[in-house]
Amino acid sequence: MDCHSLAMDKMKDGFVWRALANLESFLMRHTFSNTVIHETYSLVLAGLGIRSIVLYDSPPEINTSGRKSVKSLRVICPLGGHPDEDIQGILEVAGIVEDLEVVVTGKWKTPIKHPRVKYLGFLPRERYLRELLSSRAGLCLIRGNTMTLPYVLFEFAAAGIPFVINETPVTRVVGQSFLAKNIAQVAEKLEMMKDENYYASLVSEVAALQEVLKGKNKEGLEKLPSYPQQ
Amino acid sequence: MTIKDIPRVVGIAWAEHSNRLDAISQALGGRAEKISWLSGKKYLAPMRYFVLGIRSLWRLGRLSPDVVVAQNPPSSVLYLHTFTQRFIGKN
Repeated sequence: MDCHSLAMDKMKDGFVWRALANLESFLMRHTFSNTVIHETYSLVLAGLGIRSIVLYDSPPEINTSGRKSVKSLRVICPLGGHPDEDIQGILEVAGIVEDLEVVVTGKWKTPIKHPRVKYLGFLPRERYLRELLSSRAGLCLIRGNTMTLPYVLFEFAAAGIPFVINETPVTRVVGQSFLAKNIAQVAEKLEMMKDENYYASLVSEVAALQEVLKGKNKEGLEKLPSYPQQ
Repeated sequence: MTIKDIPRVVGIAWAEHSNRLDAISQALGGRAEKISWLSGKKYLAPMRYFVLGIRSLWRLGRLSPDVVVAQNPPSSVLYLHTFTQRFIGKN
């Protein structure tokens, strides 16, 4: 079983969710093998008596040959439908940073209205990649200390685009250059990206990060267990 | 034999899109099946579990895989499928 949401997270939400979470925990103890998205998650499951293999996502193959240098502070913010995505935080950042243009893609429940925010909705893959490659930076904001490691980080790394994300025990894997502790720091990091020299150093760091993430994914795949012969 | 050598691997997720499942299924030489219904409405979760459970079992029954990679939450389906395969036999 591949686990990308945490049963414990659901346990706080009443009887039905608790029952489902307990069912999941029970089944995870009895599956042939479990995979999880990062080490922290694996440790939490170990505390519940569940063994798991850490299998990081791999940065997807993205053709970046046609990417042109983006001078304006155009920032892409893909939403993946996670309940803890912080759209309010995105609007706050848009209110702080001058010259910022935020492009939001993906699904969101309510209309997003802000003069500096353009909401494009869910896009076909090709169009999404065009928007990604024509952005100067990526932005991913999540509330609290949720255990998620958003897939968009892997896409930013694959596209060679510097990004900013909230710092949590899980997101630290991307390195301090891309982490922000609060909204003010998110805005500060985006402001700093206007400087070409600093931006160039971030681009190099993203390239290195891509290799690190690929290595972690390969390591996880190699750990997949042998399947018992019939 | 390693798990990567098993020919019929099916990954299943209750979502419209899952890049992760696509990648895992591809790495294991299998296919990814994504099923969704009324996603995002938390209060409908019990009904969604029931409907998607039936649809998943139907799909797995037709595909009859050797290995199922279930992306949480359709874990109960994985278990039910294994149970039916073991005690009723493959189609």
